[in-house]
Amino acid sequence: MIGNDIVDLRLAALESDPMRPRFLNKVFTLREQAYIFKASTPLKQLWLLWTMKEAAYKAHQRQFSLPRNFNPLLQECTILCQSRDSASGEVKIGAWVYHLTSIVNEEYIHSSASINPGTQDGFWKIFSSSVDLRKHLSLDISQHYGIPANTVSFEKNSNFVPVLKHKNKIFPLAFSFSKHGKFGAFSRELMNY
Amino acid sequence: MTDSILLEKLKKIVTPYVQHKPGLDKFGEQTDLLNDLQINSANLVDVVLDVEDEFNIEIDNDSMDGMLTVGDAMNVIKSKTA
Repeated sequence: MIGNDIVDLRLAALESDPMRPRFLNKVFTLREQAYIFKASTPLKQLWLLWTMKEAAYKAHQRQFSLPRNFNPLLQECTILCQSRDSASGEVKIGAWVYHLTSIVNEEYIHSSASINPGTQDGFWKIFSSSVDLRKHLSLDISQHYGIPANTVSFEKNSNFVPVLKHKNKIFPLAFSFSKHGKFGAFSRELMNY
Repeated sequence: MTDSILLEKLKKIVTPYVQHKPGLDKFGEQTDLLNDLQINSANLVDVVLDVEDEFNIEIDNDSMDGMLTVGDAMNVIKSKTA
């Protein structure tokens, strides 16, 4: 299963003030807060952790067809490796571990989560938020699997999770969309079909 | 506190975070904070903090967990102020 999350850093700075202690305590464990305060750019580190936890939550919710909930302290994030423009990590939710790959720049942070380790089983693309992500994912799938884009459609299931249909049958490909501010992204698993 | 006063207070709290303003027209217990009002998840935390301040209560993460609709928020507030 796949989940992703993108944060437009410029917009986030206008919308939220997450460095307040009360905010931090509702969202980040003490271990995660230590990552934030040790970083050279704490606010950016906070959004990195945020996107990792959100992406993992989405993958988890889909994996187990769970109803929506909002309890970020139940997701514990560990950063395994970090450079100036990328990061990888793990998010534990209960007994499950999700593997995260993130890209970081001055404008946005994008994280993609997968239940399977290794970056090989996920693929993502970042766009301007004005584009139709569903259309771009359809085109991508059409190219990759050799099916006409106009036979692919999307529906939301009872947990508000989008599912892909090919000729009105469920197409078993895990994918996730995220949009924030100027940016939109899809993430999908790579599978043989 | 009557439900209508509670609703009015909640509406005032959430309004600055609402991305989909038409969603406020039918503001009521059924209103979904994420789907109908398109409040983003970071701002959902702000809503919880503002509710804590307004009603002088503490909302732990288990209570926050289920706060997805206006009705859910009303139930949390009622149980903490009872």
